[in-house]
Amino acid sequence: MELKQSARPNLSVTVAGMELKNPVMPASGCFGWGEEYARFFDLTDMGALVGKAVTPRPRPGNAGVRIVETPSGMLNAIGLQNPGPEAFLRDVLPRVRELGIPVWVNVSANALQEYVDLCGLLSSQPGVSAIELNLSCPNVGRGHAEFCVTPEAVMDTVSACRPVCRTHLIPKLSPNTTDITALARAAEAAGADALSMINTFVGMVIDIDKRRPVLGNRTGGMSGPAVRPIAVRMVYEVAGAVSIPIIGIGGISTWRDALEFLMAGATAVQVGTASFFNPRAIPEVIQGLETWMVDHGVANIREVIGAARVPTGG
Amino acid sequence: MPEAIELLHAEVLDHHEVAPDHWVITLDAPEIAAGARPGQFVMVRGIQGTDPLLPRALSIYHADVEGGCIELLYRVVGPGTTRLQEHEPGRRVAVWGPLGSQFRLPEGDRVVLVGGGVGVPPLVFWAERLAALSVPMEVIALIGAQSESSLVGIDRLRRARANVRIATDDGSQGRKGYVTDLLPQAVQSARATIYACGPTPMLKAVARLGKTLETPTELALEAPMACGVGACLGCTVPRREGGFARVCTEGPVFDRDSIDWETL
Ligand SMILES: Cc1cc2nc3c(=O)[nH]c(=O)nc-3n(C[C@H](O)[C@H](O)[C@H](O)COP(=O)(O)OP(=O)(O)OC[C@H]3O[C@@H](n4cnc5c(N)ncnc54)[C@H](O)[C@@H]3O)c2cc1C
Ligand SMILES: Cc1cc2nc3c(=O)[nH]c(=O)nc-3n(C[C@H](O)[C@H](O)[C@H](O)COP(=O)(O)O)c2cc1C
Ligand code: FES
Repeated sequence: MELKQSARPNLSVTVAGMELKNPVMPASGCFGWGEEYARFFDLTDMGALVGKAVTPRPRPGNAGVRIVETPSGMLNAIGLQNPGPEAFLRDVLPRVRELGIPVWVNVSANALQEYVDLCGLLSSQPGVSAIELNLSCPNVGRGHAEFCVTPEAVMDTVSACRPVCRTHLIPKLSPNTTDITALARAAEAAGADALSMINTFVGMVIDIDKRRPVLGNRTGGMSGPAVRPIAVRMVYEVAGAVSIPIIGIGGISTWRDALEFLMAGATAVQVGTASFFNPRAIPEVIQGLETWMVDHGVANIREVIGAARVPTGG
Repeated sequence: MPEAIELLHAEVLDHHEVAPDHWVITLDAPEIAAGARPGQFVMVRGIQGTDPLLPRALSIYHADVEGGCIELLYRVVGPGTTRLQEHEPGRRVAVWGPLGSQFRLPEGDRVVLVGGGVGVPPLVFWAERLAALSVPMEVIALIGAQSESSLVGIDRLRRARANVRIATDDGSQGRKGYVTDLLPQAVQSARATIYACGPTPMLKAVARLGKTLETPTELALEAPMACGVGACLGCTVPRREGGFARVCTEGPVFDRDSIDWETL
């Protein structure tokens, strides 16, 4: 049978029953709520819209220097600046749900009950397709430096949110842990529909003239191309440990990077820091994937998901 | 609706050194030139490579609407500006803009520009645009630099009919001392408006003086930036009314009273 040369490749994927027209979306906190980037491209070209974190109450964010560049990366200590759930529901959600693409809301909190309350409130709003549970806010909880870096904490939080969450529940994992597969398994066992991974790596840069950390918060989350190989490795490992879909995140700035994550086992990907240094990074990744598929005779993007996985010992 | 921002791979038309380590780069960017207003900036970056990773913010020094090009004046201080400096005419850079807020028209008939170091470029653009207005206006430019060798934009200011007064740290040209020392006299006996751009300590001093002298003051701030378009929330400064403002979108030009200078 002859292959139809003219047929456009199929980029659509399904994440826990949710249809995405393509597997590419922005990473939380790296895209505002899209309004800034609507000036560079058509937001409806994206697979989904993922906005910046919403916290139980408005947060002004951190004082002092909030970002610093590192080799092929950056550290940020924004401090989850956001106007809170009321302003989100009033000013943001009505606008973004009009776009007609799935809207994922990233939820961050400091305490278990806050996660539960916020998850209940936001997941019941029409137009919210998924709750991305940010499990790595660098804050209290069990006396850890970060909230959910142990399987027990992940289990507690996801189990508590699951019954109140009326839409897809997608925990976002911290990489600041010894064994990320343990966190992933805990999240799956607690009822997660999919996993977003990864959030930023905790890092520090010192100003040697001032003899002080550069960031006002001292430490910050590292992101950008420099973290990509670690993120790919983590996705690869977790894809072998759980059966729920994975959204791969970490240093993706080109279609090649996106393909690495898909081949490692991710069903979809998020583009974060790259939007800062190339405002058209997301549409370029989507376009690049499509061109690659045409050039390589790949009719359906699902064919490449996990394609690089080799049997244990291989 | 927000105005469109142009993202271009712009050709470098000209690139030359105007003072030690100070360069003027001319970019073929008709869409940006057409929309550019004094005080606004662009984000610039090499097209390839991830180190340095982030784009750098540079003020618009001159916009030639007919010629379809913009000029940027920058000082080589680190990896980003070093990489930019390597771009010879004919090569391309990624550039997006125009970005941020602009200087607003003065109320009185005297304008006092206060510029320090590489804060001068947006003030030169402003002086040129003010000179092109039909209303007569007295423009005094107070320019500060470390020494004579790092004074830039002076000829352009004079061509825009500004009365230029200089202060250098080492006294190699003009008055020895801070540029702000020249300010009280410059605003005297007139309805003046102050426009300032330069290092943060200088801006703090100008804001304080502007208040004492009861003179309307607009200041163009700098902050470390990642995106330049309002998305990363990395470039914030404290607002007087509480919370933070983004230098890239609410600024870089702020009214004196909108910033909390104490905690900045
Ligand atoms: C709105 C805006 C307009 C600007 N306009 C101009 C301009 O017209 N001409 C010009 O020469 N520069 C301008 N700057 C400053 C310019 O962006 C920085 O000099 C540049 O980012 C330095 O990059 P680098 O990699 O070469 O040096 P880096 O290694 O990043 O910095 C070298 C040194 O400069 C300091 N520095 C870096 N970035 C800034 C900053 N944004 N503000 C204050 N100090 C900084 C660092 O602390 C360090 O000491 C502007 C900045 C902003 C925010
Ligand atoms: C400035 C900035 C803000 C971020 N804010 C959030 C946030 O609010 N919630 C969240 O879950 N992740 C946040 N992240 C993490 C990103 O979503 C992403 O997981 C991380 O940056 C790795 O991807 P990247 O290398 O493509 O940027 C933020 C990252 C950056 C750089
Ligand atoms: S530089 Fe990103 S918000 Fe201002």
